[in-house]
Amino acid sequence: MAKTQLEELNRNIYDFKNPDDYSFKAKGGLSREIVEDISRRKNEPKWMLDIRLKALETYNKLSLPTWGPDLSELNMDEISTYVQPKTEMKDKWEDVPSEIKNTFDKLGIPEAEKQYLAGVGAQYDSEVVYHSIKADLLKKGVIYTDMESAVREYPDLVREYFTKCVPLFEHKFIALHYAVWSGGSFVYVPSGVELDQPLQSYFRLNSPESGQFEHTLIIVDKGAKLHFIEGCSAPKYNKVNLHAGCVELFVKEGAYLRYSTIENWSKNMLNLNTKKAIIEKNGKVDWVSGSFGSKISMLYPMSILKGENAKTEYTGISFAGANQNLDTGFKVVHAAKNTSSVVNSRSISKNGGIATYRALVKILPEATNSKCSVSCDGLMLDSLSKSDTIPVNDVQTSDAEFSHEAKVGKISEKAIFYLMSRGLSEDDAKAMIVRGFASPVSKELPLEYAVEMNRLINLELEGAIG
Amino acid sequence: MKINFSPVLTSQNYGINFVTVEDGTFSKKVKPFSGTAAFAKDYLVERCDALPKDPLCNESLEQLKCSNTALKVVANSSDEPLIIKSHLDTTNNQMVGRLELVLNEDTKRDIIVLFESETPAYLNNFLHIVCKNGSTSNITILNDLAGCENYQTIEVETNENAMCNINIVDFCDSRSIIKSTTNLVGENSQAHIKMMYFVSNDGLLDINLSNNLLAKNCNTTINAVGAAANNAVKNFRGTIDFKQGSTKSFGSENELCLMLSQKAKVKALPMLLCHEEDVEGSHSTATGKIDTKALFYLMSRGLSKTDATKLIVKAKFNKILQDVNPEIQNHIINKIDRKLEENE
Amino acid sequence: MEKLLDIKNLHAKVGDKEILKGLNLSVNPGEVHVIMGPNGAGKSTLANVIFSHPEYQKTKGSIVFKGQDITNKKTNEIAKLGIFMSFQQPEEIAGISVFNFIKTAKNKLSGAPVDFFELKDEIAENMNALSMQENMQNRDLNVGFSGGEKKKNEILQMLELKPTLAILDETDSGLDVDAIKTVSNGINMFLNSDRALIIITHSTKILEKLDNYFVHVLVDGKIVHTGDKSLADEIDKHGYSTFKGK
Repeated sequence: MAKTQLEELNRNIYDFKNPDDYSFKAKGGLSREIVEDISRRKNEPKWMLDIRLKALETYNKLSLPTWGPDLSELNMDEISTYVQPKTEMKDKWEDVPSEIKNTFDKLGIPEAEKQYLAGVGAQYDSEVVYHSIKADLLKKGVIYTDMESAVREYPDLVREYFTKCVPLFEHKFIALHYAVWSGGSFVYVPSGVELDQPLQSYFRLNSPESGQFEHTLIIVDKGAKLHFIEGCSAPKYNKVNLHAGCVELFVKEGAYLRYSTIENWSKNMLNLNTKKAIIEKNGKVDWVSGSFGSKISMLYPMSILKGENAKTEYTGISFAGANQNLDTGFKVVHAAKNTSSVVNSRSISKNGGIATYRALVKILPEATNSKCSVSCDGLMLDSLSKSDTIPVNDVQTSDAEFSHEAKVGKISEKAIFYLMSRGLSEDDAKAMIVRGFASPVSKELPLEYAVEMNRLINLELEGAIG
Repeated sequence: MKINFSPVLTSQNYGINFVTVEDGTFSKKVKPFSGTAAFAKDYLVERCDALPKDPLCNESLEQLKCSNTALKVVANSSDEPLIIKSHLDTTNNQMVGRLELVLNEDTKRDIIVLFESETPAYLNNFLHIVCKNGSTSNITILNDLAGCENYQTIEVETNENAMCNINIVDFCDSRSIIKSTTNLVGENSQAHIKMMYFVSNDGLLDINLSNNLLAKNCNTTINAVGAAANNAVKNFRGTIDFKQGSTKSFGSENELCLMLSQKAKVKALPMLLCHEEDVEGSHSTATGKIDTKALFYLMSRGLSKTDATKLIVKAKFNKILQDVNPEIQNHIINKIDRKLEENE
Repeated sequence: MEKLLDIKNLHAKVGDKEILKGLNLSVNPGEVHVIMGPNGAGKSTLANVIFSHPEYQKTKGSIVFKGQDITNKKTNEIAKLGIFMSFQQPEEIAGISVFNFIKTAKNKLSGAPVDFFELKDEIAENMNALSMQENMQNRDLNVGFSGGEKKKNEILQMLELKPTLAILDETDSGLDVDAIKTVSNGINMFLNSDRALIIITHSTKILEKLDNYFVHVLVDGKIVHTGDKSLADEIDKHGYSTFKGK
């Protein structure tokens, strides 16, 4: 009996390769009316409503994945409650769990931000900061706005790209996402524009329904450069526990995009995010990812190296503590000549946490002279935890260099003794080694994020959270 | 029909979780077979009752119950290798066999299990290898089959202080589906599974090696080196699983596949599963073609391209072959030479 | 004058094997004690046991440092009392630079924050005296360091952390002639009338610059003979055969 196999739910199962063979039936969860309502409230053009409805149809036909962590606690019949606008859910600060509030304190989050992060503030007023950035960007022709505004103000541009990177039928949660998406960022960087300062999703004006089904669409035009940072180390709390977001990245010829994420969802969340980048000739995408928090995560950023000489690098760390199952990894498809990918993934598991690294490297016949190297290391801090590495390598040309290595083990006792002989306590020694293990990621982040990430690691080690 | 599933599933889209064969492949109508013979002294033969606990699929298990040869061989210590050879030809062309190899306590023996056929044949074999306390064994399983359909299930058990080397050598030009499950149940036991393969023509080679560490202080490795030529398809699944209780154990997995043609398709899924903290696990896989720099270097010393290729490929295979009993080593090396010449 | 270090009848084992079988040693401030002996005698074991290495167990005897019984103290507590060990095989710790590590260690030992600029100057001075390349302080701790670089890094830490008693475990092994000279310099910089040094070594080269020191011969888990400089020369010429019988 395979360890992480999900039992098929008792409902009709359709082969997703033939979506038109069967008619759809309305399920208990999500109805056409709810989706139409969402579109109407946002004042969307008809083409967007059509996409939502097609997604709903697809969602009803696809079945849940048969692999990965057990998602059976997700009650699909109550999906409709997940998509009600927040204004109808009267959350109060008092209802936010104390451990969340404690973490805010320990991480030094200012008062106003706390309410925003806890999802109880109606607006987090970053208006002033945001507007000054916005003015500067407009001068350069950069568009940075929330997704709903983009649909209204730049419909042609959005329409050209929306769903073209991550298609509707990719999997059940993407179909759900496209049916009920709400909030998210839209960025367009015109040709040749290089932005020195990173754009942070944090600074966007909070829209009432952001959080669970955000759609981020970023287009970096020829020769442009952008560093985009999403998330933050403070735990994002939401009563409703499903996050099925989607990130579509288009990197055109000769362009560069660095996409950094620190995710720290609260410990009740199911984080099923889909992120993909399509990279054209001579383009490059660097992914930097730190995953903490959430109860279950299924997170596999993907790069499609579509044009010649395209490159991608992924550096990621995930920390799975008690009652967490973090199933993460990276996917790359080499679809053109001279492409290269480098993957450096690390995971830490503690207190019964499960950290799984899943990956796919696919090198297609046309990807001659391609190079790919993957390294993944798992650090286990005790015997209750699990660390599994499940990489799939599909090489369809002899003219490619591919190597993969992985290690798993615990903190070396000799290293602990060495550090203790210099006066560090055992806990301090372990923390130093774990931070060192995570350093390839913290090195790639802007300083304040790196500092926050280190603080987060310390908190995780102390077991102060959850 | 889907068979030879990996211990943990990946997304179905990747097509690496299992392999598909025709329905009715494992028919229960089994003809008689008389092609097995054992050579060398110091062994006992009894009737074999063993059946796989983790078969390729249910149908394969049912067919094995109707086996046409079932032998239990208990090897005693000796310097002479024990050779069990099964020869198939146009009359003896269907083998559904069960073979149990037992090494008693503190026995030391080399064993060679050979399946050979130059004409199309069908094989579904179960090899059960039991290494009792303190035994030391070096077992080579050679599949020297042309145009055959070969299904092979291997189950190995190592007890306390036992040391077991298994070398699987497979030449496949048609179909070879191999599943090997090794359970290190005794403390301080070692199991090293090495595999060398050469899959050519329109061959399909599907390998699924699982090593489970269940006791303290154990050491296990998986080492697979092979070449894929012409239109061959190779799927490799390797799993090292540190189960709870396997404190202070060590496991490593390495896979290298040389692609000798542009049309070959190779997939690999090297899994490292860990449920125990105080262990050391690592794995690596690599795919590539013959290093052009090395080829050039050798050719500049007067070797033809074929000879230079042979040298490079054999050098890579050497690590695996060095543990194979000399009795059969030359046969294998000659076969590699011939396959490389055919490939040119 | 109170003894700095007083070891009485120390027995210690690793696994089931007893390595130290009743070792006695006293060290006073200002002294240099050299421990020599054949391989396997227990020299490194002694150093590790003083520091409560988790793989070793003390079965009998006591270790008293500055009047305090440290036999059962934890490794970092012992470090805080003012003992330092230079490792024979220093560990590589990725992710923290030499500079940051020294800063953190000093902070832990003194309990007080360390001034960044003062530290930078001090480290630069010491690195210069040890002929170490300046950029080494930015490299990850011991990662990719050659044998010689690792040993110099240990001496650098000793000079920075300023212990009262320093134990050098085969610091000279694997070093070329120049490096040995540099390490000798470092040792001289360290020594003063309040501090003491225990040097575990095979060769006398590292002792050439020192004037006075005690030489102890450790054979089969015990100190079997004690002498002065001339004993070291004798061992150099004739080996340990005369002592093994005892």
